[in-house]
Amino acid sequence: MATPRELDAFLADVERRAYKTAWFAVHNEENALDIVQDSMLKLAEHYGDRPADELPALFQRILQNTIRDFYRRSKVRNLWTTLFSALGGGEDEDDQEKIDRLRATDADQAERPEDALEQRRTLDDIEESLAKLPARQREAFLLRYWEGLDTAETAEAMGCSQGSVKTHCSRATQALAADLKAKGHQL
Amino acid sequence: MTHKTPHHDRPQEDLLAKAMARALDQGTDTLPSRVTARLAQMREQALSHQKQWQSALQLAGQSTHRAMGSLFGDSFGSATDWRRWAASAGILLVAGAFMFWQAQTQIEDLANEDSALLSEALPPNALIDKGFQTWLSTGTPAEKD
Repeated sequence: MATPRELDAFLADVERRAYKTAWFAVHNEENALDIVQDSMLKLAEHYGDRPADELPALFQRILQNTIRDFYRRSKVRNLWTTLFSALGGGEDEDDQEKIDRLRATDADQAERPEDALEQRRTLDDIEESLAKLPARQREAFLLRYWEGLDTAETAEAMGCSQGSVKTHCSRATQALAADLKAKGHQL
Repeated sequence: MTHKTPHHDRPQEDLLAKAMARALDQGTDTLPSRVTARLAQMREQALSHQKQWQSALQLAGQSTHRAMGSLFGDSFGSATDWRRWAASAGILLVAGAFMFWQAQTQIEDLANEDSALLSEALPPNALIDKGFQTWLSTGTPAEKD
């Protein structure tokens, strides 16, 4: 059973990567934070009594599911918005703002200083390339290489076969390499 | 963080992927302070909802229940405990009644003996007189005469 200290240490270790993972998926700071918050709460409430070594795989699975839930809700919301627009119906200002935020692809990036160092530029390019990847490829790449899960754990978290994980990872790496080369990076 | 060595057919791809993962690690150090503060706040909130604490409270409750049970002869236990308690009480009751009956019988026997002695014409002191005992064992003087 994970002690509060172990859970605290695990969340402290994973929270920033979880935020970035969510941000790569939804491209919005508030939504990414909400996803991480939901994931943390679900982990603590439902799996807080599990052994500490089970927490990483459980958390990644919860995080990916929460991101998928967010996509589904956004899809439904966008569908209703489109229908209301087509019928000439008005949507309130708050909803319009939320949708605008959803569509904003790089609001956070605009806050970064223009005179960033070369390292920062490389990182930005990697993040940008990652954000452009298909969701499943990005998911597999981040779980496998960033979170350090093995193929079986990644497959478990993604709900797919180990063969699919290998394929997604390979395609993601090739796509990232091609995109970074196109941006002038030497690999 | 340490990245596990991936088992993959293309080592070149793995090296590239790991290099990108390291770059991403550096990126997490430069998150805006408002984001890191919010993340820390979320972590605190999650910890306060940890399932383990609820379980710990339940365990504490069970321990208290057991302690009360040992103090009050398992009277706080289940139906099985109640039956066991009732059987033990029954046995104790029967044993108590038997001991009381035995004591009463003993008292009554002694009383009967005492009353028999007192109701005889012969005074009780005669029974401890040596001459009288000798007389009883040898027969009456009239018979000798």
